[in-house]
Amino acid sequence: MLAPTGLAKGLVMSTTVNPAPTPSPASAKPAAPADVTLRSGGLLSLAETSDLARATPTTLVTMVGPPDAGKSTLLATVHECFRQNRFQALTFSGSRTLVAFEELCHLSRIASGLEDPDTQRTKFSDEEYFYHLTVNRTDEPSSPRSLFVMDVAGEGFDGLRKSHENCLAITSLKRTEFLTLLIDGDKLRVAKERYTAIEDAVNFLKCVWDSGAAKPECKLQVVVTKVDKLQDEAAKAALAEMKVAIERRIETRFPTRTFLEVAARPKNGDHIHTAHGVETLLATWLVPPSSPPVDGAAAAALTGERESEAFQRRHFTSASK
Amino acid sequence: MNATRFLLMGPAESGKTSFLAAFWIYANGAAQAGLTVKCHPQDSAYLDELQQAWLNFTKVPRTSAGTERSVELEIIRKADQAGFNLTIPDLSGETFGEIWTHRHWTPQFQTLLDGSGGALLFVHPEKIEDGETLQDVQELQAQLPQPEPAGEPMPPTEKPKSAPFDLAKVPTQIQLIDSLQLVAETGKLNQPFRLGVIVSAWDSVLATQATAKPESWLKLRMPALVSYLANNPEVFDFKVFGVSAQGVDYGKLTPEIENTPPHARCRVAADGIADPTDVTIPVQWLIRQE
Repeated sequence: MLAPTGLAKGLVMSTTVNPAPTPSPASAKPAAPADVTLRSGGLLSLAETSDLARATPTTLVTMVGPPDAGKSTLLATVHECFRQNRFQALTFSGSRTLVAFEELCHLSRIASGLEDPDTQRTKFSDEEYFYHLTVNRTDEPSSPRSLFVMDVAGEGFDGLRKSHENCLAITSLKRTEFLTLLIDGDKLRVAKERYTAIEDAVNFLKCVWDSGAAKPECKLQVVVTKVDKLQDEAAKAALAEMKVAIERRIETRFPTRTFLEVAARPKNGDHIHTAHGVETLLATWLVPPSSPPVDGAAAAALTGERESEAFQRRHFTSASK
Repeated sequence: MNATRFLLMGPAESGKTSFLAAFWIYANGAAQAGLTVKCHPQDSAYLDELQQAWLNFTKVPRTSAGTERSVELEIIRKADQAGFNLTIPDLSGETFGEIWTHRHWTPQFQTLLDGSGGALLFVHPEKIEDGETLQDVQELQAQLPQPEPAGEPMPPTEKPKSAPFDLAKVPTQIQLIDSLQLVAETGKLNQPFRLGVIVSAWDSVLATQATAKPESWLKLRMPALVSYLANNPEVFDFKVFGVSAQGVDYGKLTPEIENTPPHARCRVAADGIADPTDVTIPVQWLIRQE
C-alpha cells in the first residue's frame, strides 16, 4: 500500500491527497490512508492554465460581450458538437473542464426538465477562470492544440468598456491571442439597440487597446451571434452598417481583425443549421501564433465548409485586416 | 512466468463480472480458447460462485463497493506456451462511477492502477445515457405531422422549473472520457496503456443491427470517446470488442438455448480476430507481444 506522501509525488497539478486525520489520544487505531482526491473538472485558474500550457501548444482566447450575447451558448455548442461528432475537420482530444462544460449544457438537455433549451449565464467573478479543450485538426492529426477560453460575464463587459483600470485588472488579457467580442445579432435589427451595441463595442475596444491591457499582436474577432435572426435584407444592411461603423471608429487599433457570424442554437433550422459558423470560429483559434492570421474564409476552407455556407459567408460576412 | 495485472473497469451493470465468469469457464477448458488455466487456483470459491450462476443462466452476483474480489490465475498462452500470472481485480461499478461523481478514489484503487498492464473498459449498449438535447427533440417533433388545433386555445401553462444539475446523469461517454483522463493523469501507467473497450451484450446490438461492427457502433454512439482515444495514441493503445459473455438474454431463454454447450455460448466480434467463439480474445490482446 502506498503512503500518502508517495502518492503525492506522482500526482499532477490539481490533484491532491487529503491529509490523513490526526488520531486523537482516545483512538489508538492508526488512521486509514486517505483517499486520492482528483481534480474537480471545473473551470481552471490562470495558474492551472500556465501549468498545462507547458505540455501542449496553446491558444488563449478571451471571449467578451454584453449580457445575453450568447457567449455561454456558443461554448456549450462547441462541447455538444464534439460530443455529437458534428464537426467536419476538428476532433476532440481531451478537456480538463468537462464538468464545467456539462454544467453549461445542462439547461439545454432533456435531463433539465425544461421544455425549451436555455443556457446558464456566466456568473460574474473577479477571478479569471478558463474552459479547456484540446483539439486536433483532421488534416494534421499529430498536432493537437490546447484552447483556454475565458468567458467574461456580461456584467464584466459593462465594467471593461468604462475603465482602463478594469481592463488592466484582467491579467490574462496581456497573454490573449484572440480577443473575441460577441455582438448579439438579435439587437442589430432595431436601430436604437443597434447603435447602443455599436457604441458599447467601440468603447470596449478602445478601452482595452488604449489602456495597453492587450498585447499589440492580439487578434480581434468581432462575432455576430444569432445570425438566424438576421436573414432579411434590412437585417443584412444593419449588419453591414455595424461592421463599417466599428472598422471606422476603432481606426488603427487591433490591426489584425476579423468579422464572423455564428448561430449556435438557431430556431429556424430549415435555413441555418445548428452550430452555424462555430467550427469556422474554432478553427481560427487552432492556428499557431507565428502563422499568418487566418480569416473566416481560410478557416472555413479548413473545415470543409459547404457551398451553401460559403455563399452565406461570401455575401453576408467579410473579413478584413 | 510473466506477471500481469489488468483491470476490469466500467459503470455498474456494464458486464464486467459476467465477462469474468465466461473468461474463467473458457480458459478452464474450452478447446478453442487461446488461453488455458495452468494450475487450478488455490481458492476458487468466488470463481465457482460465478460459474454456477453463469451455467444456470442466472445473473452472476454483481460486484458492489466493499465486496470487490481479486482473481489470480496462472495462464498459459497456447500459441507459444508463454506463462502468465494474471491478476484481475473485479472492481465494482460504484467504485468506477465515483471517479466521475465524487472525484476521488481509494488508495487501494491507486495501488491496483499503478503498474497495471492494461484494462478492459465495459460499456453496456442498453445502459448508456446519451444526453439528448431539447433542440434535437424539437427538431424531430417539427418533422412530424402537426395536429390541427381543436377548439379553444389552451391557456398558457406555467413553465416547468429546471431540475438541478446532476453529475450522475451526464452522458456516459463524457463520464468515461473524464475517468480515463484521470486514470492517465494520476495513475503511474505503462504508456501507451492497453485498453480493450468491451461493448457487452453484443448480441443485443446484433439483434437490431445484424451487420454492426464494434468500433463503428462505438463511434456512432460515443464519438467523443473514440476521438479521445484515437487522438492520444501515446497514452492509450485501444481496440474495441463486441462481447456476448452471457450468450443470450436470460429473459428470453428457450430449450434450444438451454441445451447449448457452455463453450458454444459466447461470441466475440472485432477486426481481425481468429475465432469469434473464443471469449478470451480480449485478454489475449492485452497480453500480446508486439
